[in-house]
Amino acid sequence: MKAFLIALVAAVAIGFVASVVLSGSQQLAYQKFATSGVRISEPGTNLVGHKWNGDPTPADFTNETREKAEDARADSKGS
Amino acid sequence: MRSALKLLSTLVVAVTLAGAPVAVGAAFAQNPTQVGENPSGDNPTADSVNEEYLFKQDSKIHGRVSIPDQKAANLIQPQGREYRAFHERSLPWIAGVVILGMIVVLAAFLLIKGRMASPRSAEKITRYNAFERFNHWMTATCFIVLALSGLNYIFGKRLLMPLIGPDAFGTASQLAKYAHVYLAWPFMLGVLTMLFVWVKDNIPNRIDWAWLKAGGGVLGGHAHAERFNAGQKVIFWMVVGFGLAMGVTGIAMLFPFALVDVNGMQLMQIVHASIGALFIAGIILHIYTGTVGIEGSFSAMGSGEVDLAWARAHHDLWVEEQQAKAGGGPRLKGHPQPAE
Repeated sequence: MKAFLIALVAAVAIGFVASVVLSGSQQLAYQKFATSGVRISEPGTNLVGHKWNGDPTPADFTNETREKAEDARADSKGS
Repeated sequence: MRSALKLLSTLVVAVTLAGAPVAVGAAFAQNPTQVGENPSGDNPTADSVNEEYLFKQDSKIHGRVSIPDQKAANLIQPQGREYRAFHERSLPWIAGVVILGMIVVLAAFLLIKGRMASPRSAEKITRYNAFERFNHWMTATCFIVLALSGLNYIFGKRLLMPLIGPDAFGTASQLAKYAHVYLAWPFMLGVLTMLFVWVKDNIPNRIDWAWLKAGGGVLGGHAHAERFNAGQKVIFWMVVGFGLAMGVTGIAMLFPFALVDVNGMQLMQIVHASIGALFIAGIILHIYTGTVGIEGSFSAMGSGEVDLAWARAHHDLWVEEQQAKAGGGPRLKGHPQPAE
């Protein structure tokens, strides 16, 4: 009986240690794969248009807007 | 004249309106094209990319994502369907037949043959020391929790959820999942300890073959045995083999994508569940022989001591070895009566 009770305590104790170690070494999916933002199209464009009016036009996708976006992003990284 | 023209134009319009549906119906009758079908007769999507074509390029169909987890781009992997079919259809039947089959066989055996009687004496002999019993019970209690929580994965939603409701079942399953994941570690430790402590007494030899041929004494006659008989050695190697297999496959699932990909994890789950069902059936047999099946056997793991006559009946060679080591001690002359 004594060996049985000690075995129960030991099983719970080892299980508790395992829970602490595993919790420390594993991350939840939303933590592991967290990002600061998501790119959904080419730089300088977005799904709602250049003017954010929900009406993107081919004129939005110009080299000028693309370069402007790239420059803005470079500036933001540099600052 | 004016009213005649008005009457004539009214008649023309009326005839046109009345005849139009008939004319349209006749026109459709000439052309068998169904609604929604390309009038040219061509199938415009005949040359488009389809599932069959994509599977010729790769074993999976995947798209493109910009988030860091590239696995999220995986859309279709055919093995997932096979895995689901196994998990939802085959596995419950396999597990049910194996486990319930073992219970039915043992119940029938008990009803027909009864308990295996053993001779008694007034003397005791130590069968297992405190550490062996501690390790056995640690492994055993963990196994029972692992088995019940594992069976919940297979049968819980079919048997338990209708009884206690989805909310209680969800909470219970969450707790069972934690118990399964955390108590797996003391279980694996216990199995490894058993391997190191008992392996020297579980090496198969000729005595085991003779024991098997004698049916372990069940079929009549006496079967000699050392510390562990052939049946116990089978249980030992089953516990070690299945325990290690369950540990390896369990760890592969416990750390997703660290050791194997999604196909590998599905394979691990199939192996884990299949071995688990066999493992449970084998341990039910072990519990039966250690309690109800053989009189006087439980005290070996209960108090650690067994009746000396019981020991000579079931493990005579081991008793002689122990007595030789002790340089005397209690001895029973002659061969013991075979266990009935």
